[in-house]
Amino acid sequence: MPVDVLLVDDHKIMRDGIKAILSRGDEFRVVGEAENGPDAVQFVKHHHPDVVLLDIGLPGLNGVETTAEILRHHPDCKVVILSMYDDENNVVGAIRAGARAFILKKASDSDLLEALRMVARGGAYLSPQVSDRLLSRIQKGDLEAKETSSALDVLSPRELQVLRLVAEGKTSKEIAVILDLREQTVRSYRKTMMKKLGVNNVAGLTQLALSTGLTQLPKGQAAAERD
Amino acid sequence: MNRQERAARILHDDVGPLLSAAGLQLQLLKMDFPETAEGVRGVTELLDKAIDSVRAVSQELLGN
Repeated sequence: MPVDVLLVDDHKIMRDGIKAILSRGDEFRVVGEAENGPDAVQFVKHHHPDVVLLDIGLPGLNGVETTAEILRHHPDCKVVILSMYDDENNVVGAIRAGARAFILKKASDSDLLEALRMVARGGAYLSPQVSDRLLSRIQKGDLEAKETSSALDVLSPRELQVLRLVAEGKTSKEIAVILDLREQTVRSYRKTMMKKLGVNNVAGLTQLALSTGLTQLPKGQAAAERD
Repeated sequence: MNRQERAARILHDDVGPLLSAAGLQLQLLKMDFPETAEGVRGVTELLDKAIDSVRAVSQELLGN
C-alpha cells in the first residue's frame, strides 16, 4: 500500500516537480497539497496523511512552526522538512520541533525518495550535506554554545511564533488568523513579551527579533505602530 | 522596504525557488531518460552553485 503524502510549499512549481517525481513510482501517493502552514495543519487534522513533506520557508507560519503545530495535534504524523539552505538554525529548529528528516531542495531525486522511505518506516534522515555540517559543528563544540546565548530564551515557543510574525510586520489581527488564536490573546502575548524582554514598543521587539536571528529577512517597515 | 531589501527578497523568494524547480525538472528528465544522467549531473552542479550564489548575494544585500 502506498504511503500517503501531503505536499506543502508556497511555490506551485516546486509542488508540481515533487509530485511528478513521486508519481514515477508506486511507493508514494500525494493525497493533498497546501501552500501555507495553517492549511497544512487543517489538512492533517482531517485526512491524516502518513508523511508531510514541508517547505521550511513558508510565509506566515513557517515550516518549523507548522511542524510543531502538526505534531501537537497528531504526534504520529511524520514530517520531512525541505529547505533551500542548510542553515544550522533551521536544521536544529526543525529537529527540535519534531521533524524526522531534513533534506535540501537541491538534493537529488534519490535523496528525496530515500528520506521518504526511511521516515515512512519509522526512521530518520538528513541530507548528507546537512549531516556533514552538523557533525563538524558538534565536533568543534560550538553547537551548544550558540544555543544557550539567546536573549529570547525567556520566551515560550508560542511567544516566539508571535514575535517572529510581529517582526515580519503582521498586525495582531493577521497573527490571530495565522495562529488560530483570538486577537485579544495575541495582544496579551505581545504585552507579556515586551515585559519579559524589557522593551516598550513594537520597534523594540522587531529589533530584538532581527538581532537574534529569529527573523532573517526583514520585510522593511516593522509592524510599526500599525495596531 | 528599501531597494536592497526588496532585491534580497526577490532573490531569496523567487529566484532561488525557480532554480530549485529547474533542478527538480532535471531529476525528472534523468528518471525518464537514464542515459542523460551524466549530463544532468553536470547541469545540477551548476544549478547548485547558482543557488549558493543567490543566497550569498541576498545575505550580502541584507548586511548579514
